[in-house]
Amino acid sequence: MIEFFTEPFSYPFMVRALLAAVLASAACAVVGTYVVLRGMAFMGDALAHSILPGVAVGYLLGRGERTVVLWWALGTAVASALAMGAVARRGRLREDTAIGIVLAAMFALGIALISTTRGYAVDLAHFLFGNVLAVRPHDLWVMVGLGGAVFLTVALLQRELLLISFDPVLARTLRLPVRALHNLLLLMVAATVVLSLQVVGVALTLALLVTPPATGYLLARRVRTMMALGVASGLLSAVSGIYISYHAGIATGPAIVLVATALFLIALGCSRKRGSVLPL
Amino acid sequence: MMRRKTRNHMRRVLFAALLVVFYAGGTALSEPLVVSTTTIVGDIVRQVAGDRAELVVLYPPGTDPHSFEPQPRDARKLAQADVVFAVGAGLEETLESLFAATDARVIELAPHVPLLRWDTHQEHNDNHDLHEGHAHGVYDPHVWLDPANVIRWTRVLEEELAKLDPAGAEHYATRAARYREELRELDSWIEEQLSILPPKRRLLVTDHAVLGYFANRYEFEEVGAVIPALTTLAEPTPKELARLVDTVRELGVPAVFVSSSVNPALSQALAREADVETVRLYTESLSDDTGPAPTYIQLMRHNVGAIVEALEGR
Amino acid sequence: MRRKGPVDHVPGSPAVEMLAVTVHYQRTVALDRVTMHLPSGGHIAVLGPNGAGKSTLLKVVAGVVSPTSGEVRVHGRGPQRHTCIAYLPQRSAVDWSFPITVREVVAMGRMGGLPPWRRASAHDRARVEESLAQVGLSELANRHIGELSGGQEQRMFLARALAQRAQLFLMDEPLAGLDVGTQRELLRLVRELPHATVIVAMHELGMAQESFPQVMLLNTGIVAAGPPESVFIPEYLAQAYGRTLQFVRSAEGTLAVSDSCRPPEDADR
Repeated sequence: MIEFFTEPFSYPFMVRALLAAVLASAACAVVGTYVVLRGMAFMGDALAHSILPGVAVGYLLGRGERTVVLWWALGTAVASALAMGAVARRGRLREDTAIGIVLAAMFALGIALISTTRGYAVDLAHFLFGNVLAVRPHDLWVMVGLGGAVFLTVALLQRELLLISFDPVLARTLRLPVRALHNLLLLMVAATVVLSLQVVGVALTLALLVTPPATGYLLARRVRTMMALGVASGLLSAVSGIYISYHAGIATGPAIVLVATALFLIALGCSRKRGSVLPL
Repeated sequence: MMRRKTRNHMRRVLFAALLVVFYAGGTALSEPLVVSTTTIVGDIVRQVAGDRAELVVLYPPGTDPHSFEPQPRDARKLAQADVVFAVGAGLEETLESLFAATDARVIELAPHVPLLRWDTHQEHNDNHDLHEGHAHGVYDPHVWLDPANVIRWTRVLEEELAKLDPAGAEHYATRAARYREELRELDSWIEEQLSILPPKRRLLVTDHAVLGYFANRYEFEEVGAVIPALTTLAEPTPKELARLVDTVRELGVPAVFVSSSVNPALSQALAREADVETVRLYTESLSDDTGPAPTYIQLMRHNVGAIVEALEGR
Repeated sequence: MRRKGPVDHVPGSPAVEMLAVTVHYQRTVALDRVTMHLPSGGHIAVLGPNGAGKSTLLKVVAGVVSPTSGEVRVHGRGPQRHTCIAYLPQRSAVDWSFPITVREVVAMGRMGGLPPWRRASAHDRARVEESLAQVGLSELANRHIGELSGGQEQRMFLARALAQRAQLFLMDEPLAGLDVGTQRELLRLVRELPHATVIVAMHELGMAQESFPQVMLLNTGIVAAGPPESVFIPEYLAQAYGRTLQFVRSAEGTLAVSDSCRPPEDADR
């Protein structure tokens, strides 16, 4: 019986997969708390899709070498985050229309670029759905760096982030740097998107960003509790997902997301907040 | 007398002129457009056809034939071709709908040789029960890695080309025969090179199930594949990968053989895990002209050299 | 993120000065050449129909919206540097399901002066408790904000403004949805705010007349401003409210005016 739990982790590649999944889930849950509270889910998804061209360029330039791809992903994510902040402020279109247009365009650009190599199906699948079995020690260090930066930033700025999420007008009357904080939040979303790239891929990053914090939201009365529960849900999803993927032989990324969704549904059943519309 | 001579002369000139015109036009018409799918097929076709046919290869060097994405210009080439030579037996899976759509005349070469089923030459592998979703008894298309099969291909090619271009029948026959000689020589050379490896060292671990025919001919055992499938469009489950790591360690296999046309990430993960090296082989595509495998024969020589070097050491 | 310190007030200057302030939102005019002077300690109610620009006026004074033309001064300086301005939002603009407690909301008022890495001091915490006590919410401090009644919600925002040590209170429709008793209670609290200049945007003409020494009728531009008796006359009310107004004369000859959201034509159906 105990073998069920220990067997997967007798292989270092599985240990690395687990660490990557755990880091990505925790970071996404922390940043995702603000994404959910501020109704930024669509923007988060758009950001995840918009890194595909950067990933494609990195892939083509580095001939598939993964470190190059990761750095290009990060650079593109940062650029997209800042661009989205600017577009949302300036545009005459409704914000979700503008975001939708950018999302689709970037995604198409990414696939177009990748398709210039003639046999791209496998690599594209990895970018879209993750390739957690191939995480290298170097990749893990990059992830630890990114995750650490995210945790530190949130720890330092949690009150400010809470304030701009709850009452942006108050933030302005208190003369807080609202725009800078909003951009910082977008940059953190960018970091978590890159973190999630290898674990669940571009297509499922939204799930890691939104589902565990939404679970926390249903059960918590304070933001700190919501975030803690979100992280707990994310961690549980990551670990369970890895086990299920190993023993049942299904892809790891989707397994993690399905567990997270199941936890959300359980919370939905237990919660008294059922009536309120989630700010998604 | 003079007038007849002049008339005859004029007639001859005219006749010659007409001949030139028809021959030129005719050559353009009679030189068949032959399209090959992979670079390997293309090379073998070229060896038999020489310069009597216009040869086009669809897949650029380094392309993975399982995941090649055709574009409109490929469809056009297929439609214009007088004949298309493909490996078949499921290798060019992404082209099948295009073959139908363009009404191309496709000759599949693999079915002309004795085909192996995939699980028969995996019977010693305990990955057997983990092949969920793979139809048992699917044919392995990677037939060209056994030179004997390529010899059989040359006979098909010479026949088909002769059908298309009867005037060149003898040309094709001669070339084919000469190439068969070279292939037999290659086969002997390979046997000789491999003779230094005792049976317990003849263990192959590959990125996907690609060396079946090679293993069958030269008495190797296929221990397992990172992607336990005939195609690269599949993923191992974590448990399959873990099992392979165990197997590699247990049997003391010193290397994982990786195709040049496939993303090596997972194979590298396996190699790191099991502490073995990854060795690059040219299995589904030639290299470009500057690389070590610009023709089929050089490809086989390169591969055998790499295999011997990898497996003899430890 | 070094924030500049709060700016000092120019002595002798009025608390709020607006000079021909105009605000355009894309194609619509929200405020049209509004001019007003409010001395320190002054209380004024701003009334008008929906869309008259009441919220915009408050936001311009708060420094949250910039005027398209004209000038705003708070205590002699532009509003943007002041941290003594409290804007209390409309209840409908707040997400009451946000996971936050009453005390946490009030504590936000203290964040004007804190750099991010410094934790709230004992002084800050004491100030928060004081403010809660001043409005009578000490017992509800740990409750989730969704559990509050309408009156309690307004008192919470007042407490936040008190914690902020605000000197200018801008309240956006604080009486909406409250029963008359609660409205009176709230306005009493407002009247008793020490050292406070207050501008309240509201709909309730009767309450404004009762509780405020100065009122203003706004309909994009100022219709009239001054003591209620001189402003709440039929001519000005008609100008401000247009067709949303109905006059009723009672036996005692008093004028009862109702501000309805439906134009009078609907009464015929």
